[in-house]
Amino acid sequence: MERDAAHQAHRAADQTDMDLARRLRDADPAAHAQLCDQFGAALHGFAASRLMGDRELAEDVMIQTLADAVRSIECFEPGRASLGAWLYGIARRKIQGERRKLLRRKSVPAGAQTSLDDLNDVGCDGDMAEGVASRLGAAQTVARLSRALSDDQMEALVLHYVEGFSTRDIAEVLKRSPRAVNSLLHWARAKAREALSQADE
Amino acid sequence: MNDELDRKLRDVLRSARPKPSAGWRERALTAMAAAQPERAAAKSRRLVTALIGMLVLAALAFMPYSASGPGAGMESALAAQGGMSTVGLSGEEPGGREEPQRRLPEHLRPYAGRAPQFVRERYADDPEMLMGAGLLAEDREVRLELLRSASEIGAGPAELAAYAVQVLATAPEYYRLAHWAVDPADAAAVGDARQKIEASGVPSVLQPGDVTEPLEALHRWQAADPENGFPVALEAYYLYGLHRDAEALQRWEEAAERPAATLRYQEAIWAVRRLLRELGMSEWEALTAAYSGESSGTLSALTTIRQCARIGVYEGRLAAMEGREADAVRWWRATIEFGRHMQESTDTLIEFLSGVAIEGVGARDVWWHERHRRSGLSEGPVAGGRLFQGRHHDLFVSQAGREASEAVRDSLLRAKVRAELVKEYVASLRGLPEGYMRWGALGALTRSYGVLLALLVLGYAAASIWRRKAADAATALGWRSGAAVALVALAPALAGSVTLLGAMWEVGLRPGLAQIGWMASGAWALSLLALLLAPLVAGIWSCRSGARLVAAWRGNLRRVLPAAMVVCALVSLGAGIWRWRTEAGWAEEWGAQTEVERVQEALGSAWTNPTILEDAWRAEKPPQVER
Repeated sequence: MERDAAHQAHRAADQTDMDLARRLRDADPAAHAQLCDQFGAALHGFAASRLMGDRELAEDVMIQTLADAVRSIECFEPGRASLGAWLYGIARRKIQGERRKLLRRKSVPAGAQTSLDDLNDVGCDGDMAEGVASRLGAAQTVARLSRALSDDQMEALVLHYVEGFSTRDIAEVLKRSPRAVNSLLHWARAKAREALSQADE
Repeated sequence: MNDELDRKLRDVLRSARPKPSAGWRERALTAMAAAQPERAAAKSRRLVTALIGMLVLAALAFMPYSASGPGAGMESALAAQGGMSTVGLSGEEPGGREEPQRRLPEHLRPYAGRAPQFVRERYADDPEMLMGAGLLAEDREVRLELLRSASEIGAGPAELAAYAVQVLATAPEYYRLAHWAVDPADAAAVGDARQKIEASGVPSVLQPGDVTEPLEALHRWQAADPENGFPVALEAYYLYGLHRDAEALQRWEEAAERPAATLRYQEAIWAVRRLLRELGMSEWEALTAAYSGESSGTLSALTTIRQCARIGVYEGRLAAMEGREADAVRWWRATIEFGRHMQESTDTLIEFLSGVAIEGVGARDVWWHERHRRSGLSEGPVAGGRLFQGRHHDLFVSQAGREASEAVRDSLLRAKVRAELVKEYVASLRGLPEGYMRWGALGALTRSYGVLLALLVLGYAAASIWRRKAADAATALGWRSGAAVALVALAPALAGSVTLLGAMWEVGLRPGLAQIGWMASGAWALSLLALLLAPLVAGIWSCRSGARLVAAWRGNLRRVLPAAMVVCALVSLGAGIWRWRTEAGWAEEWGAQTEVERVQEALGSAWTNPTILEDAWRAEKPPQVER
């Protein structure tokens, strides 16, 4: 029963994706807005998490990804993966290119430096200082995780925990098999546990 | 524990994510709108537009190219020269008679089939067109009917000659000893010739009723063409067949006295050309078809005239044997003179060469051409030999005088030198019009780029027929870049074309021409391969994110192939136009000159004043050698 429900949910999601893709092919402006609203912020976050927090660069990647999606919507094959997985695949390739450029730089890019303006949208209900500290601490933890895990492991964690992608979708984004993705997540968790426990110490 | 880890990872990863800066949505929407591909036209409209475009390109490539014509190969050039000259005709043995139903080359048959009806409807009063249709007709009855009409309406020398020649072509035949030009003093040769006559079943005497129609036709021709000795010579032949030998000699002498001796074959060629032109053939094709020897009756008429020459030799020998030395010289002189007049008055090479042969046959007992191999002497300067005094040289001198003998000798030498010049002219392809090989190469280019265009059209259709939009979206290659890739891929074909044109620029046989042709073919194949593979290689770099390489390849093909198709169409069209203009120039130039005028122009003073080398003749009999 649970499987049937999951199956039906899958089908519904596929149908939604196909409907949106069809409207994008037909150049429906509302489809642009829907795509932007549904995936824009998430893509931005994904890109920022992989680009050392550089917001400007992450926004560039997000906008380029959405523009490429509109331009290349004919290449989307609904049966292979979800629309989100397809978009994240495009974004991932752009991120890889930008990361290669970043790694060659010696200084932290301006967009990656945490400013007070950025901290204003922490948006937590509690104390401002506590929110800022929490944010900075999370950033440090993520940095530690990035050092301990490989790029693929880190991406798999982000896609699984933040974007909520299924194993199938993660496999489509990372261009791996579902079994390889499960293995990747398993080892990523193991290393993350170790890294987090070292931080607590 | 795992749940705790999961929760912690989720919180950490989410907390560390910054939100986009203000205004990001507007910026994203603007970029998406700019990236939106243009709205596609209706499918059916696109399909029709594509089909029309392909048809136009294909038509442009193939339209100027004429359906017939040889290519650039040496063999085809040699064959083509034969088709542009009357020297393709030949006939050695007695006979050469026209068949009632002759078969034309395939490319002329449709025109010959349409011609009779065409001229009866539109040119019923035009003797030239009627003559052309008659000369082209395959069926003998149709031929005779049209030529008779032409001769009755026009009554000019050319129409009457064509009709008479056709009547003679199937007139009854006869054989006498003279047909083998035997020596009447050689009993064995005479006996052998008699046996051949008996075995052939051909009568040795004509009946008056057999020659009524031919003689009537010849008399009409003579009346309209009083300066021409040809119909008179033909009449002499039939008088000889009636065994009216004295009259035959008299007419033969009259024929030799007239200033001209022509079959009017050139006029027949012009008539056929005009008819073919009116039937829709191009000017150049019509000219070459007319020259390729399709006029009926010419072969048998020239064969008959050669029989007259043998009769002249035989009767002269018979008269000499019988002590009638004056008659002997009359026969020989008439034959020699007639042959000389044929050379001087004719417009076609076949008649000229026939005249040379007739003069040589008539003079053989006065001046004999012996090759060096038989004489045992050094190689002679005239056709590998030299002239010696014939067996009846002294008799001729005693009757006609030494000056006359020397005149015959010098005339023979000039004739032989000119005949050798004609042979060399034909063998070295100088009989072809200027730029013929280049014209052939242009034909090869037109065909090759046309075929390449067709293949590219198929390739474009194959790349576009399935998920065209996906292909276009999969590649970042622009149209300009696609055109550049097309030009690079076509570079081998273009280089091969330039090389081929350069090699074929001048008429003439040179070593390595066949290899150049093969190399050009290889270059075209290489370009076709490059046009298919270069987009694939380019796809490795131009493939957009999320797209497959195969889709990018198809998209690149859709950008590269149209540019290549345009280049192929332009080259094919350009080569076709250049070829057509070349043909038009030839047709204008050749159409204004007779065949002999062309040769004279090409050879210049070598023709008008042929050089007679020393040691070209010896004032002695030829050495006796074992034969």
